[in-house]
Parts: sequence; structure tokens; C-alpha cells
Amino acid sequence: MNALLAGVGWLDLSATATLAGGLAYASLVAEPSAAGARALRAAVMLLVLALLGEFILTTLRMREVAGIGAGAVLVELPATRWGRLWIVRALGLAVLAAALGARRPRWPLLAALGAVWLLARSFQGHAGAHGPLAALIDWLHLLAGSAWLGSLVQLALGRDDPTARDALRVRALATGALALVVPAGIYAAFLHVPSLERLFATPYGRALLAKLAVVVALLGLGALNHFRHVPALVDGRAEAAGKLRRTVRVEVALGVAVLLLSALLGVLPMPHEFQP
Amino acid sequence: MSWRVPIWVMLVGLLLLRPPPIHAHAFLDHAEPRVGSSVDSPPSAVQLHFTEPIEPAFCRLEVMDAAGKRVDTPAPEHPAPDVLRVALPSLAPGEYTVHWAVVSVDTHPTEGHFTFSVKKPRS
Repeated sequence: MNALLAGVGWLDLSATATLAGGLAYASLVAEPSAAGARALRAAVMLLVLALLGEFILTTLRMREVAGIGAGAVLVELPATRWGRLWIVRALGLAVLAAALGARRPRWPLLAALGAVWLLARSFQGHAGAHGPLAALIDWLHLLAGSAWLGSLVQLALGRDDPTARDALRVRALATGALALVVPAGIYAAFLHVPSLERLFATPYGRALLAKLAVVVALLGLGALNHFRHVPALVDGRAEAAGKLRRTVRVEVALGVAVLLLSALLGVLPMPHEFQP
Repeated sequence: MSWRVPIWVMLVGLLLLRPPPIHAHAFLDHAEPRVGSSVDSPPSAVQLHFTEPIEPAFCRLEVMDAAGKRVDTPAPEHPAPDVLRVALPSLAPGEYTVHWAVVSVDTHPTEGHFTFSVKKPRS
């Protein structure tokens, strides 16, 4: 059950980052390419599957825990806090899908809607169970991480190699996102890991360390783009655009690995409750 | 870029506050009768206090006697977001085990059990 929940959580996070971050890219950088627009529509479809999967798996888990029938769980689940926020997420996704289907999407409005829609996810999870401050910081982490990764996906899916203008705008967006992602992530780590010993001695702590290692590699590639490839592209060096695009593709792959580890953290026993 | 400065100042300030660790799942904080205690007179109810709010619809609370037979109780009540309570019939002296299974508001399940005893009345 936990493996399935982690898998669905990974699908959810990947599609969420692609959609919300892609909308931020469309609003702040450039109109998505044909492949980029297809990625946004695919993310909506994957989110429909992820939301259905999460509802089914949660129903099965509640049936097992409470020892009641699936029918009773289906009646009770929508009335719980998790269920109400699930409905908000589903309705929000329907609104985003409708606005995305317009002939000429209004990207700034869609990006703002996408950012607000992420709030429901943050309030639905671990952080949301611990009050508005923890949920809002989780939202900042999710919003900034999505803007970063979703923009990279759009840059990688461009019809041509990135232009200097687009690269500079994505660089500014990624830098701003980084300024939020890292402190908000450290705050979340303090919130969930009670001691340094538990960071190294528990599966949760080790998965968090693995995630940090991949994030460090991602930051290294981001720095390579920031300080070398983007300035070279601005200087008009012919080979820079190809190098930038290749690095961005590797960054996207690492970003997907970070999301897998994030989904795993959502189902592992918390550090304070783990008994070796 | 100047607009980054206030964001960094705000978030570094947030980190300096360093939040206390949270449990993220609902665990038993304390119970009445107390875990492992011996009480002089039969309690009228068992009340469990958890470390965070729970979803009452998916919570279970059962009391077993020393022979493993379930004590007949009404459905558990939920007098506060983090409290589960079940009224008890008049218990005979002996040891009782309370089994609980709860779900936190983010749907993470936890379970556990503890014992308490009702002393024989002094003659």
C-alpha cells in the first residue's frame, strides 16, 4: 500500500510541478511551444489519474484501519478535512483545465490560479495538519519548486534551442525560486527531524539526505547554466544554446528524482516514531 | 537583484525561529485512566488524548478484559479534536487492555494499546 501511495504521490508531484511551473513559465518567460502546451495538457490528465488514485488508495486504507465497509468510508471520507481539500483540488483542477482549453489562454491569470490551487495540496498533507504557518511554508516550497522545475521542462521542450531572452528570464525565475525553495525546505526539515542522530539513523532521515544530495547536484548544474552557459548565450557564442539545452534536460531528470524522494518521504515513518 | 533581499531576510528570519519538531502522525499523549495505572474504583470512561487532531469517523477504541473478552461499550465519542472517549459499564476488578487505532487529519493511521487495572475493593 505504501509503495502504491508513494508512486501515486510521485505522479501527483511531477504533474503538479509541470502544470503550475509551466503556467509560471508561460506568464513570466514566453508562450509555451507546441510540445510545451501538450505537456501542460498531459499534466492535467495525469493529475486526474493521481487524484482518483489517491482517493481510491485512501478509501482502502481507511477501510482497513477503521474496520468498516468501503461504502461507509465513501460516505465519510468526503466529510473529512482531507476529503474536503481533495474536492477543492479536483474542482480547482477542473477550472484550470477549462481555462487552459481556451483559444487564447490568459497566462498571468492561469499562473495565479495555479499558485492558489497549490495551497489546497499544502493544507491537505503533513504540513497542513500542523497549522497555517507550516502549511504556508510548505506552499512556498511547493510553489517555488514547481516554478523552477516546470520552467525547466518548458525550456527543454522548446521547438528550437533557447534564445538569450528566454534563458535570462528563466535564470531570473530559477534564482527567485531558489531563494524560497532552500530556506523553506530547511524549515520543513527542522519541523520533521527532531535530532541530527535521527537524520542519519532513520529511513526518513536517509531519504531526506538522498534528496539533499540530488538537490546539490541540481544546484551545481543550475550554477553552470547561471554563470557559464547563459552568459555565453548572451555573448552570442554558437555552441552555448545546445549546451544549455542539454544541461536543462539533465536538470529535469534530476528534478524528477527529487520528486520521487519527496513522495517517498510522504509515506515513510516519521523520524521520532521509527523503531529499529 | 534588490527584490531578492527582502525574501532572503524574511526566510532567514524564519529559519532563525527554528520550529519545534512536530509528530506529523497522531500518537497517544496521555490517557485517563493513566497508562499502566491501577485505579481504586472502576472508571466511568476511558479517555485518550492524542498529539494532534484525529478523524473520528475512522477511529477505533476497544477495551478487553484479562480473558481477552471485549467489554461491551457504546460508540466512541469525540469531545475535542484530539480526544477520543468511550463510556464504560461497571468494570469488575482485574486488568484491562485498551486497543486504539486512529487516523490523523492528513489520513495517516497509527495504533497502539495499553493496560490499566481496577483494584479489588478493600473489605
